[in-house]
Amino acid sequence: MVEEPWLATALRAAVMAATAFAFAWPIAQPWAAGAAALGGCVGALAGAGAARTRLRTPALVLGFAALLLVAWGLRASVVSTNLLAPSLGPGRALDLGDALFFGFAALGTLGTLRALSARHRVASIFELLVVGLAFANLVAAHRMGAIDRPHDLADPILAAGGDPTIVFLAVGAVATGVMVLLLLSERGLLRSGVDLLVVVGLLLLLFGTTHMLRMPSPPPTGGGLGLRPNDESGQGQNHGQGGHGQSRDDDLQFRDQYDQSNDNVPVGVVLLHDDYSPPSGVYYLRQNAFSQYNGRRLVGTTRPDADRDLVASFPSTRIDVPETPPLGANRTLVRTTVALLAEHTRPMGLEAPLRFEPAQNPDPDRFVRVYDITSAALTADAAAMLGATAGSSSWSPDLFRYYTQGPDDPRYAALANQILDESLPAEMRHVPVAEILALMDWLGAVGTYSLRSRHANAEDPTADFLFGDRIGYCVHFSHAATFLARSVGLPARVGSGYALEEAQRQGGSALLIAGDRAHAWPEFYLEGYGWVVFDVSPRTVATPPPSPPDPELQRLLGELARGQSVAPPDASPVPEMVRAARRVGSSAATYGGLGLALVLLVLFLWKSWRRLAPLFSSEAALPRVVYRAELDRLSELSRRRRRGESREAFATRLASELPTFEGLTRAHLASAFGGRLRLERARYRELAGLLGRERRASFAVWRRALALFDPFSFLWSR
Amino acid sequence: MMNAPALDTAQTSVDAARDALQRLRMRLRAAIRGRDEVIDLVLVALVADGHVLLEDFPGSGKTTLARVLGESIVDDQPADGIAGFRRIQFTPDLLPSDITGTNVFELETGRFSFRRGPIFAHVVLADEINRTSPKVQAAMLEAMAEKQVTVDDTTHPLDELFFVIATQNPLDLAGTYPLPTPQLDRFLFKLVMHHIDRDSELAVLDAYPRPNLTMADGLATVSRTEVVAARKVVRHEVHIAQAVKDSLVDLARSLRSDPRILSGASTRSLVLSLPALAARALLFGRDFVSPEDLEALAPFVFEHRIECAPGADEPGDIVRELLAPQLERLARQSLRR
Repeated sequence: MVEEPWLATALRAAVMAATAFAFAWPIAQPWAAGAAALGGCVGALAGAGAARTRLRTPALVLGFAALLLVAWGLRASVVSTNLLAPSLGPGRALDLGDALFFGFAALGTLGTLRALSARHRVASIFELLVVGLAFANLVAAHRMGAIDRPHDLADPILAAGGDPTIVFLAVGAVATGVMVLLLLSERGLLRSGVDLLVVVGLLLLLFGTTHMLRMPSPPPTGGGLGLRPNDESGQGQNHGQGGHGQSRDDDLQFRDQYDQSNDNVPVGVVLLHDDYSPPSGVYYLRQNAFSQYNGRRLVGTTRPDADRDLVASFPSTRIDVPETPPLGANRTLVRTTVALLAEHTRPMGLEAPLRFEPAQNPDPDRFVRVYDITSAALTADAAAMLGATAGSSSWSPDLFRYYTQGPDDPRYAALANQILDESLPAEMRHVPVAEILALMDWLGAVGTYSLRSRHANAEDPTADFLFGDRIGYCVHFSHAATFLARSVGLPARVGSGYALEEAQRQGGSALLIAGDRAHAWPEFYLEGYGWVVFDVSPRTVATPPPSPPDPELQRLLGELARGQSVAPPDASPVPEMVRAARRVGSSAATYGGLGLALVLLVLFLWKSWRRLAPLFSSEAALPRVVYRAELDRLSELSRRRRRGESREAFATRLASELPTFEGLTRAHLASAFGGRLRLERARYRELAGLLGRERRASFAVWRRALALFDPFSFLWSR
Repeated sequence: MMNAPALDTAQTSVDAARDALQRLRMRLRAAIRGRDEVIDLVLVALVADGHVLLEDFPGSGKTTLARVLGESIVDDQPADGIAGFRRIQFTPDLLPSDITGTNVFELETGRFSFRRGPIFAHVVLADEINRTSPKVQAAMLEAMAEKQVTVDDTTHPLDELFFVIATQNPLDLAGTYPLPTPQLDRFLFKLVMHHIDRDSELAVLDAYPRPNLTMADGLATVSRTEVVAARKVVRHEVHIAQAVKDSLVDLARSLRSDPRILSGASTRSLVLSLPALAARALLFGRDFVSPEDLEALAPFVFEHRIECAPGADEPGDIVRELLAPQLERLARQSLRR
């Protein structure tokens, strides 16, 4: 066992304390977390001490495991018995019990780890793992775009204008660095200090690059609605597209399994600048629409005169939508801003958009796109639209046919007519809105919403769904609704995007777009109203509904997206100074990082040259150069001549690990101090080979691999 | 070690000398346990043509050391009538003639003839040299320096090999005449013999009843000519790099300028240390002086030649301390062009 410097022991104890604290913090009272920290600290010291005794390892482990029993027993005796609880009162008894439990549990667990890893180097990997897990566990809530979590840690950082993600990255990096240092602590204290400087430098580099390369984007989701790029990649074949041709990247897909497990990630935020409540209670953010029947399903249109209300690209200048819905009493102008956290294939906007305008991005590190939309949002409810006729009088007959084209299957029309006949009174039988509502209602009543279904491989997935088990998700429902409507002459299409319930607003003006709000819905064209969404709401739902979004996060992202426009231009001098300091800091980090990278590069080049010099050196310089290269290698492995130690004594000291080194030393000294001994170049090569073999036998692989990355070692070789 | 380099005459003589030294070393180590370092230093002094002052307690094996050394060197010129080993016990009433020899009137020839004293030997053990009068000490030290004795205006050369191991008891100082520092300068080394370690002491006891002296019997011996030849090799064949000489001079200078030291090392001591360094290199099978030789010998060479201010550290420690930067410089220089 290597005796380690006291500072390393102290550092280790501090890390263990922090680890125990990090584990206990989310699940315990502050008191208990403090006790856990104390336990971790004592455990590290006790473990190290126990490892130095002559106790056998199993006995050590059993001893520490007994502490866990003690922990449990103490808690039980304080909380569940009448020993102390009556005099303390229930609250204090619980606090005390928890504190005892966490303290002793931390002592036992971390003491075991420390003792084991002090005895066996392999165990230090577990130690490292536990420390890593502690911090990962602490910040796990931060995943999935929940940038405001964990609240305890993130709130102060956000309040100070910082970015919790970067801070957590930094904490993780520092923790990793410290643990790596501890793994290497046998190298001695001075060395660790220098390594610490390297770690700090690397962290600066990390900050610099994070700043330059932007924040990590939200993880890709299982989507399947073609809303985000690469949603489909590698999945289409698994889910059997049959032989029905290559689909475009942003198409709707029928899937047997629509994986939403990873989907509650925020992908954007909508800011409403005008007060608007949709009559249906749902904000439909349309990104795309599908109206062209390709013999199997609906795809994006290829006709120049159809679906002209769609915009295919993000605005770099103002884009006016070519075909606007009829404005008037039925629609009101609503201005919104969409700030996207994740890349999307097309811009989305509250239907029906009139124009898209680029907006200034308040936080380019966080938002990938920000744009303003002016929409003509529907205000009329279904009752008001009863008089509307289906389709537009401006359409050509061909276009009308296009919007009512569906599968040749006669069952659609038969089913639709049967539904209409059964559910509508005679006077309503040919009122388009009534027909649409009747069809949607019927579909909602008979269909079962499930993310798992078995229609993707069918010749006509919609027919397989509609005339089969009627289990499917929004793609199935919207297709079925569209085909049923088209079969009775109602122009319809499928829209896709995000559907956000009005309740989600909670009175605010920001709406968080979570990945699991992706949706596809049927739309119908009504004269005088344009495309109107009449969604199906299945009453039988086999999949748990998506969890409501975190209102805190929604508010926070809203503020972030609004930030720039809301902030007063003249802030008080202190924030100005802070901003300036931050600018200076970030540029210092960038240039410092670059400078450091340059220094490291020079050091590595220098090191490589010294290592390769024997290949190019003259015969006369060979003994010196070979010896120097060998000294560098040993220095990497922290085998260095002590100050005042002679070369021979150094070689003798290493003789057990590297017996050949003595011979090389002698040859070097002979050449340096006028001896007659000279070796051939080939002999030097042979010696180098022998030494390499001895090094491999004496030093572990990881030790040698790590040594390669040490930029300073050669400066220490003497 | 390594590949045999091209054999030339110089190399052969170096090898022969090294071989002879190894044989001597083996014999001494066989007879004297736990004193490897002292043995090496005595051999270095022998080959460097210097003398040794041992400071130790009675019964620590110095007589054995000197006797085994004397007996290991076989006299291949018996005709000159010079003994291999002589021991002189110094007492207060000793007279110079008792060691140098004296002119004796011979009745048969009616003339004075010189009768050699015990100093005429290859190896002389001068026991408790501080117990005798300065007069006798001066005669002894003069003989050591000049390798000759002068009796009644006639100069008698001593044997070329003449090697003195003098001893003094560091504790029992009552009624003694301690050697002054200038006199000590005549000794190449002053060695302090500490008690040997437990295992070696046990090995000495285990040898009982066989006398320690006989332990070396049967091991190869060395002839007087070989030792003389080795001295020649030391002077001519072992290379002393300029850097080593630089360090030696710089060490002496730093010793002189150190405030803890009242009188520093003499130039003579530097001259004397060169053969000592070479001899040690040879003893360790090298044909060049390495910094390691300097590290090993410097304390023994300078310790008794410098006078420390009252209250200062041990002189040996000061020498080691001042030597360290020199050694570091030598080590660094060896990696430069």
